[in-house]
Amino acid sequence: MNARGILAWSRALVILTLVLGASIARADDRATVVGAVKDRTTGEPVPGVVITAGDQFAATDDAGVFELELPAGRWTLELTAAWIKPVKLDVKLVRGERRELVVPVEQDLASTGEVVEIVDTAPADPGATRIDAATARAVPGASNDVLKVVQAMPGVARPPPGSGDLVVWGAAPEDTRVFVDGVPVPALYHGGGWRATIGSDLVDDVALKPGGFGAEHGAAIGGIVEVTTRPPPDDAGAALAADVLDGSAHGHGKLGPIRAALGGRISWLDRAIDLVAPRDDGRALRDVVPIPRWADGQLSVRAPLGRRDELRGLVLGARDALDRVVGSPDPAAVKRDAHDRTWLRAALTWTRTRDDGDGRLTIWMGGERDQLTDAFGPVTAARTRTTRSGGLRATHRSRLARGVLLRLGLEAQLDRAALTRTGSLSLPPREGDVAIFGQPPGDDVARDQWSALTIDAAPYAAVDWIRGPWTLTPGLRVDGYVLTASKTLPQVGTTPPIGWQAITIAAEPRLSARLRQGRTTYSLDAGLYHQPRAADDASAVFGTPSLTLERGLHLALGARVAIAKPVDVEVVAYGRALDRLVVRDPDETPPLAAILTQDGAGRVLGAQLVARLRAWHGLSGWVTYALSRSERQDTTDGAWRRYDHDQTHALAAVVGWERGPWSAGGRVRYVTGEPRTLVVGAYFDARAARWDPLLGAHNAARLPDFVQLDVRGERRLRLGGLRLSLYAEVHNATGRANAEEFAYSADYQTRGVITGLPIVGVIGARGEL
Amino acid sequence: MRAFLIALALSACVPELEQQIAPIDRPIAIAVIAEPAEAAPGTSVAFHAVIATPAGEATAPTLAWSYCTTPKPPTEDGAVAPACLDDPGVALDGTSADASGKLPGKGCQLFGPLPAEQGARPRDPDPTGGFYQPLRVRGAIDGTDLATIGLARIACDLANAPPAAVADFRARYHANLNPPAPTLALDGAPLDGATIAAGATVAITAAWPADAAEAYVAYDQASATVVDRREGLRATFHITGGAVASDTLGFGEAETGTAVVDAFTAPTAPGPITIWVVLRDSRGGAAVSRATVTVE
Repeated sequence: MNARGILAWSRALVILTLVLGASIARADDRATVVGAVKDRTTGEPVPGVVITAGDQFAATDDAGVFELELPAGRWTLELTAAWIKPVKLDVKLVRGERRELVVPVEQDLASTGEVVEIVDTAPADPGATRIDAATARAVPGASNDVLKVVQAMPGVARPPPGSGDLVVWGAAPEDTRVFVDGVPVPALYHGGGWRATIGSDLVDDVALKPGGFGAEHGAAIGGIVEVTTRPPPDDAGAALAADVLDGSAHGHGKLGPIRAALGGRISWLDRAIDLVAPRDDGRALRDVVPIPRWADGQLSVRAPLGRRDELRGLVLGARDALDRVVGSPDPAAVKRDAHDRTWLRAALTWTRTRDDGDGRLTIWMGGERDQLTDAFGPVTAARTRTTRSGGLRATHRSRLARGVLLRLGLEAQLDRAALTRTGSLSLPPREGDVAIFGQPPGDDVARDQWSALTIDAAPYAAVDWIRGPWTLTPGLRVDGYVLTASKTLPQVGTTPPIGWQAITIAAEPRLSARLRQGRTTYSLDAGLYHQPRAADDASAVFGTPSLTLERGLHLALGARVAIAKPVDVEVVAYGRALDRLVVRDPDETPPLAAILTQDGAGRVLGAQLVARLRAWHGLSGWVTYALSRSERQDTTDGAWRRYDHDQTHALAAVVGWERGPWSAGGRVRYVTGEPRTLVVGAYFDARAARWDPLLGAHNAARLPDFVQLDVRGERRLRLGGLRLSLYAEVHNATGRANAEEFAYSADYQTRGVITGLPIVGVIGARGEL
Repeated sequence: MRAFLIALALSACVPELEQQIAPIDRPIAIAVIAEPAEAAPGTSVAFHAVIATPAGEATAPTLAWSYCTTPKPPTEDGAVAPACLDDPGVALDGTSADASGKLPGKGCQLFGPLPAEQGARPRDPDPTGGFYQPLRVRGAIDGTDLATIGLARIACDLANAPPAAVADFRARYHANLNPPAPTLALDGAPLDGATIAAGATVAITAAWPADAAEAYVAYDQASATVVDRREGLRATFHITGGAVASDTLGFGEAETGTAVVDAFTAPTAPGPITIWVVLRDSRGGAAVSRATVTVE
């Protein structure tokens, strides 16, 4: 089969997938509440209790368990029976969520109308964290950006400064996928990690599943970030926000039956610095240091289709740009960085609500253009990648019997990437490459132009089997991948290239188990995961066209204890075994068109402890401690080394306080320094007139530990119809000089540390009509 | 990692570390000059090492010369594979500042565009289209171990290029020549023998003729054709005392220039200072000028 045939076949597969997806389209724009009603004194189950939510109702079975499927939103559950004191529960349900409750009731007492709070809301996945927008916005250090909270969530390693990388449970950043309403997006953060790519006013909540996630997600051997957008409300309104980094606007309104929200943001950090920084030899500071520029926009539309169906449209776009030139009288030392990235996603979601079930179908398409140039003297590394993407997600859930739910779904995605790359093989570096600060890249230069197609069609099924205190969720996901590369060998002259293709089936069993014992919920989650090779690696010159799938096995054991009404504690032990990882061939003379291999392996072991405090006398927050070890093996029988972002200890405490119009908060972090490879010697390169380093054991040393305190204060005002909030943050309030990297003298005889800025202040305002 | 390193420049405080190679505080082979500057494997080449020491140029050093035979991994950022410093290699004739020997016959396989073995990936050229045979210069001078790598440009045929480009390249390519030694001057007068006041800052000029930057042709991978290029030139200053504003100045291939001017600040202590200027072309050729000035 030639490349044209493969393409035609692939298109047919996608069309077939779309048709299949549409035909079985149902999904959960709804949430499920599963509750266990127990006697407050004895802990015994209470059967026969009627639970009412609006016009929906259910009753507890002999085990005291009930289940209700409700549309996402805020609900009041009323629990009534002749032999209990009536209870009301206020819950906020997120689309697709499975909320588990334990509701204590008092039997044989007169009604008093008591309102109790949720005692246990164990998440569906171990270690998973879901935070609503209002809570996230108030986290110190996030500069009012809701999605920045992900970097502060349990299980997430502290990112390097100026990086938007997400390292969860020791997995590489590219192993974690980000979804917005089920649509995969290329990046959660803008370049440099200063801001999220989705406007905060559009976000309803964000969840991080660091591992062991269910069958509804795949193509990732790391974690999953799920951003849920806020449906456009019925009323009209607008909000403006500004701080030293950027400004944003958001508005929503209603036109007939259609509700819409529109938002956008543009950075001005580079221009703000121009105003305060002196010019050097006529050049602005932003010409010398890399100050990123960013912009993003979002459009959300919601329209009813008949009485019970709804159509949602979502358009997301983001752009990042960065330019920097560092001049030098030495032409070999002139540095130039340029990065320009633009991406777009457009999605249409049809939500179908019927008495016999609910369905949801999302079809999306998008594109990305990413241009990167790194020039170091005459050695220029440049890569342009243009990606066209599309896909769908369809889910359906039905009740097979009492306590048995069947979830079926289909996820499909197509990515066609066209790439051009020139320059050194070592620039940009990969995980495991030793990058010494200031060292020029190798001056061996190559060039290639190639394309790569990745198709993944994945039907999945999972069964929720609920019996008494047990909930078992076995699942199976079968990913069918079509992988192609345009060239198997480097092209010579005008000789037509010969392409490569593979069709691979990856079966991924998943299992989740929950056991409720009093105030404690025990959990076990395990699964097999795969992800396709990156299109960037499918080059016959810079990579290996025949790369296929990387694989990961996850296991997580957890226990969550509701210690007191506002406090719960969760402990999770986790492990990841990774193999078939794409790594460099360390051989001095690797085979032609095979400079990358799949001989890499990884292993991650860790445990995390999270204690959460929910709304107690105006206080809320969490404390998390993680102990982990993440290692990689670059050859089949090679030695294990520390993963580049391995952080043995990570302790974070976030506390927020709110009273009236005032709120304040603080965050303190302690993190073990990242591994580094030390320079143990040097030789003089007489051709280039520079010293080249000789390296010690790979990642055998560490940077000094990181400690930082961030504080935040906010004051809310109401001026007529305008709700105004003013906030101020101080990052690194103690001014501690945290080491961020090692630096060396030109001859590598002396080593020092590069430190982060001592104190950074951010002030901002947000007005809402 | 890349984003991280970029971000450091914005958000970080960089420590004060010596970033110049100009000061000579221990013996260093600051240049290894090959004659001819470019030759085919199997051709005999003479080498000269310029050994700068804090006391001036070493005139009779004892050195061990050898060609390295360990290929460089494609992703090695350094000039050679680390093993190149210790592999058995091929010894050259000579144990002083001068040595000679035939370039290893398999240079174009081990370090050039021809595959080292069936199915192996060929080496990538440098930005000028060149390939280099590494040689190491080792020795102990004044109790300091010397570890310097020289790279001799080797003439190899184009590989993985259309036949027309190969023919064009063969017809038009001229082997590299070493540039002429730069002329060193202070206020228009020869630098050698000049007197400079202690602590004074003066302008030192290193100049070369216009044809020092040779025209050459190289294979352009993007267009799959042979294109015309012109060498860039860099002048590196080394000093046994005082300080220079820049250790290296020069012109890229897109620039033209025949002289660079560096600001030299004499030490406050009187005495002789040796100044070397190594002129390097972008194809690996080099030449050295030396001057001794007196600080009073």
